[in-house]
Amino acid sequence: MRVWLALALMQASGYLTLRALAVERSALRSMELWGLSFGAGCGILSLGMFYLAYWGIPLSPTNILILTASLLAGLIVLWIVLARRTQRRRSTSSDPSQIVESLPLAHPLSALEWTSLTVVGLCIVIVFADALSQPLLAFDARAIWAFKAKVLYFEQGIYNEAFLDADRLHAKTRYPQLIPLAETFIASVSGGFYESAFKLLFPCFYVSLLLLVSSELSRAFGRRYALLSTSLFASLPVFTIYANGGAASGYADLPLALYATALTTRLFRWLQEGSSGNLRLALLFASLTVLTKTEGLALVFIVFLATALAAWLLYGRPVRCLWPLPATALGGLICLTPWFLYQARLPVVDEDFVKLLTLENLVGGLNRLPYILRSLGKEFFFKPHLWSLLGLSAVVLFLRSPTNAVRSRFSILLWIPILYVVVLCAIFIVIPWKLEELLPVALTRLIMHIAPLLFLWICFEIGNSGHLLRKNDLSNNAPSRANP
Amino acid sequence: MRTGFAAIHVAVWVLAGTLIAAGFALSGNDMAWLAALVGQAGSPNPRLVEKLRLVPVLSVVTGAEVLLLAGSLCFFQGRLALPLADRVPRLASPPFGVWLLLGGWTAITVLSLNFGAISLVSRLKQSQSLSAAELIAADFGDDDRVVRALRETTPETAVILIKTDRPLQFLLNYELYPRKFYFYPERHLPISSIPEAWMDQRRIGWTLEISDTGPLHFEVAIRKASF
Repeated sequence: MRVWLALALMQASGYLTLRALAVERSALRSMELWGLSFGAGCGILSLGMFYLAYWGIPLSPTNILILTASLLAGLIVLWIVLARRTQRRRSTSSDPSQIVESLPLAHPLSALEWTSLTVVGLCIVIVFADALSQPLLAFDARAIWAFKAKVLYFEQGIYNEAFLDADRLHAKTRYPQLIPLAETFIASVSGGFYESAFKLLFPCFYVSLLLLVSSELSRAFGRRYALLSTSLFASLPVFTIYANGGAASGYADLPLALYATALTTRLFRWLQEGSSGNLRLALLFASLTVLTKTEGLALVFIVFLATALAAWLLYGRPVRCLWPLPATALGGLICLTPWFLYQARLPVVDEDFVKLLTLENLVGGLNRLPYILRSLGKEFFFKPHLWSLLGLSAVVLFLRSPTNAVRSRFSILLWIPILYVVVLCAIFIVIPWKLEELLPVALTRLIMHIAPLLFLWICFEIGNSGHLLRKNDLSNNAPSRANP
Repeated sequence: MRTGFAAIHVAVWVLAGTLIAAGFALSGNDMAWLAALVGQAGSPNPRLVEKLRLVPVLSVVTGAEVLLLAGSLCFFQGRLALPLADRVPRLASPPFGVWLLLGGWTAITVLSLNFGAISLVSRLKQSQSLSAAELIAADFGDDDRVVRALRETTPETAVILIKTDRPLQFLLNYELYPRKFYFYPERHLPISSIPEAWMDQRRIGWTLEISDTGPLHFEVAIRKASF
């Protein structure tokens, strides 16, 4: 019961944080709000706990509860103040364009929509049942994330030899701590370090990701198309049945995928609507992306770069008007200053990618490229048991009209995966590991980070092609279209 | 040329028959070849082979579902034939390609859902009488001998020097916490050559050496501490 309380506290914190950050009602729709709340709450509580630990305050259950209560109280007060101000503003200007467009929810569901909803429901049931049916067994989930959580929970801090002594056995000492801190939060609220309790964290991230993808699609297309696409996304085997990184495994890759998708969609909305509420949310998700996994830093850099390029080249915004983007990225990184300062103190036991990524190493390792490209090809096209037809669909749609694919207004959803894969290739070129051992176990999980974006690009591309929508009326109740 | 309702109907019947026949043909077969094909490392691993034993059941169950679909198509033929003929696009047209992709996605969705459900039921059946600790022990397999040996011989406050290249070391680190594991920076140095002062400084009271390759051999020893 207390586990559900912990999860509810995360959801509530996230909900209130998002309401406070996205002051304009148009910045978030209710499905987005519910979809992003869990991830935001989990992240904001973890960040708060990290600040406590950084300033030497023990992560005892009492301190964690005080932190949560203060955060919730502060957010409620902020929400009330902002709501009053917004209400006053609305009463003085009754501009009809400010009214948020809503989906015709009263419209009864068709057979296809019911089927899609059933598929989504079944996937969620499978993932939750899978998580609850067995203890934590996946390697990284135990050896990396849960080990950190155990140390944080039992030693109540980050300044101990388990983290700081280079000779103490500790897998991936320098990995960010959002997931271990979230697990510690659940353990503290539920009153004990129960693996089955924090295994529930990851299916919740999965549900959040589904809600996010669905809301993003329903914003641009009709309910039927959004539901059908969401059901296909939900049933990607990599989420539902993959033991080493799936939604029930306890790996941090799915949470990272959620945060990276949330960040990208906020910036995409900013490109389309220009509202500052989306930038505030992007700042939050940039921080959480970096605090989740090492790859988060590369993802944040790529997402902001792609957005800046799109704003300049596709949306025709002058370069001088792009200052909010670096300011947001910088703001996100500044929030993590304590983490960067602390990380600098952690021993370097494993590889240091930043130091390895030199021109000399890149040129020297070019002979690895054919193997890397072959592995990527195999991953995208010959693993339908993990990725369904994601890779094939992307390539077919790209080749149908390459120029349009690159120039369409939603093309950042394609650019980001491509740039990320390029960065991965560069890292694989310089990494001092045997690729034959590394790629088979790591590639699927790394691709997972950008899979939701690639999926969204495919849906936008098909949706705008008109092949399904106009002729066959899959989107007969579309409120708006994301036009290229 | 439009794809007729009758052609779709025949294809569904053939698919159902093929899936059921394949399921029965594969039943009892060694699935190592499939594990090598779909496995991450390109070579069969025991856990994957265990999962792939469910493929024949998956094939039969999916075949039965397709059979059900074929039966439904028969039943609703009158109502479906005309709307379907109007909706299914011409062969080789761009919309047909999109429909083909959608069909492929749907097929994999059905297989993925079936596999998820079958694998869950099979696991629940296998593990219904086992506790979480027994499930973890079963997951460790042969390596559980090391876990048990350390649990039985060392106290929870033990500080242990570990020497191995096996990834198992990180699982021991988690499983046996709060025992503290240390490694000497020069990983290949024999335990006897590790400076006593270094061990004393870390208050190491136990040593654990595990074979790096081949069958599992390990040795837990108490150290005569001088700290």
